Amino acid sequence: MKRLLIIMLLAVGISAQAQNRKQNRNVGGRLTLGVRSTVSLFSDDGGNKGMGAGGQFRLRFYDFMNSEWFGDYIMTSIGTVGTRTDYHVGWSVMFYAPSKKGFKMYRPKPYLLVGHCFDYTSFHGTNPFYQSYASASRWSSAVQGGLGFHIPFTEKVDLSVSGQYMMHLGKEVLAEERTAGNGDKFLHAELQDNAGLDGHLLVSFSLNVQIADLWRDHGKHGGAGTAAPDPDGQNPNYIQQ
Amino acid sequence: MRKSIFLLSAIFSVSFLNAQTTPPPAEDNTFQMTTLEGLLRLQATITPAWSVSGKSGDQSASVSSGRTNIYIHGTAEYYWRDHFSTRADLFYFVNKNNVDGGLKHNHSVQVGASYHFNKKMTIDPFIGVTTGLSVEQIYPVTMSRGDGVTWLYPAPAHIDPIWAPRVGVNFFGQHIFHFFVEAEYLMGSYRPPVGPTLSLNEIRVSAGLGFNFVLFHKETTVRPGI
Repeated sequence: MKRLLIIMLLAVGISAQAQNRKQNRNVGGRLTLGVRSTVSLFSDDGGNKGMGAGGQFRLRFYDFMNSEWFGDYIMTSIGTVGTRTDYHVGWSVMFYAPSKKGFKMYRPKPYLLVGHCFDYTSFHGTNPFYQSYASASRWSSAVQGGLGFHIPFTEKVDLSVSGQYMMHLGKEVLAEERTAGNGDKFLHAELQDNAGLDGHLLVSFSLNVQIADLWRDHGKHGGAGTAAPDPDGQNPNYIQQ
Repeated sequence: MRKSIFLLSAIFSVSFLNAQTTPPPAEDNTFQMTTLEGLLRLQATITPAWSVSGKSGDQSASVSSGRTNIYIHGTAEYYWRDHFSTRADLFYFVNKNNVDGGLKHNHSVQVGASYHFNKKMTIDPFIGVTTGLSVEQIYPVTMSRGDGVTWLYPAPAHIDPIWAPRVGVNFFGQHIFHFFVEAEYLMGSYRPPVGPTLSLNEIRVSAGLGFNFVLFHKETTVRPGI
């Protein structure tokens, strides 16, 4: 009889936990997974526009602070004679304005982002007849900063747009178009000994889906289970994603 | 005392269980659909595609050279809300063009989102955008040097980023199936490390029959008459 009583009390406790967990509406601990498309608009060397694809996950720490961990693969043409490939792996911290506006679908939520990134860049000449000095590559480290905004489509899905300037510190690469004696144009790429700064403006479009809520509500936003879902923006206690 | 505690515990347990029970289906034992929320739409079809004269650097060049490409196209789309869905698409290139520089591989995977303009009607027009990666390769291509020397160069396969805006319409008129027609304008470039850079731009048109599955079912998930 005692065992049965204990089991039933435990069941009640677990049920209550489950109910509270379902109603957890604090944004801290939210883990989202996303895909992104990135456009490299211009670079210091006046290169062409590049296009890239990648992925990211975001871990939200507080209502005003989020983090983004991303990877990008960007391809850019160097005139008609070569291609530049950039691989980025990095992270950014995103800061939101400290407001308590109610969640409303399609209302943009702006943020400021700053971060750090590692980069591998390779240059290739595309003309197979001129391959002697047609490729070079380098590793570099970068810092980036910019602005962006989320547009929430549901409580769990959002579209984000961000523009950021990424500044790389690494060895310089000389990549220039040259003309052979027979009139052919080709890429001459060569890794230089000196280090320098090289930057580009990146605009990213990403689609993000919340996949987990890693920790429970605590603190001033009412704790677990106090704020009900509020898709219509009527509940002032509900914090936007 | 024990009896009272036992009784109270039993009552609370039952009430919590009730709180978590899914609402029962309608009386006639069929789900009543009122929105598309929660619907998973699967489709597979054969897709023709027509290239658009793209620009590769300073030269105009297209990977399919004005030929009609054919793909096997599969889609999975989930409706988070009546007006918003996310989707994943797979394209497998079928009709290889075994000529000098002809297209050998052009397969792609895309992920994206759509906005639906439906107003509880069975006709579901939408616009959307997808982004992804494409793996392409061309058959060996003759490349010539300024002094007349030629080389049948075997250009390697390469993975390149792509993106595509799309527009389409679904017609939900049946329990299990739906009809669809859609078009996407795919944009990207084939950029092998060594070899010609070619435009991948083309318009892909898909039409056919899709399947409906209802996930995370709510009482209001399934549309009447479907």
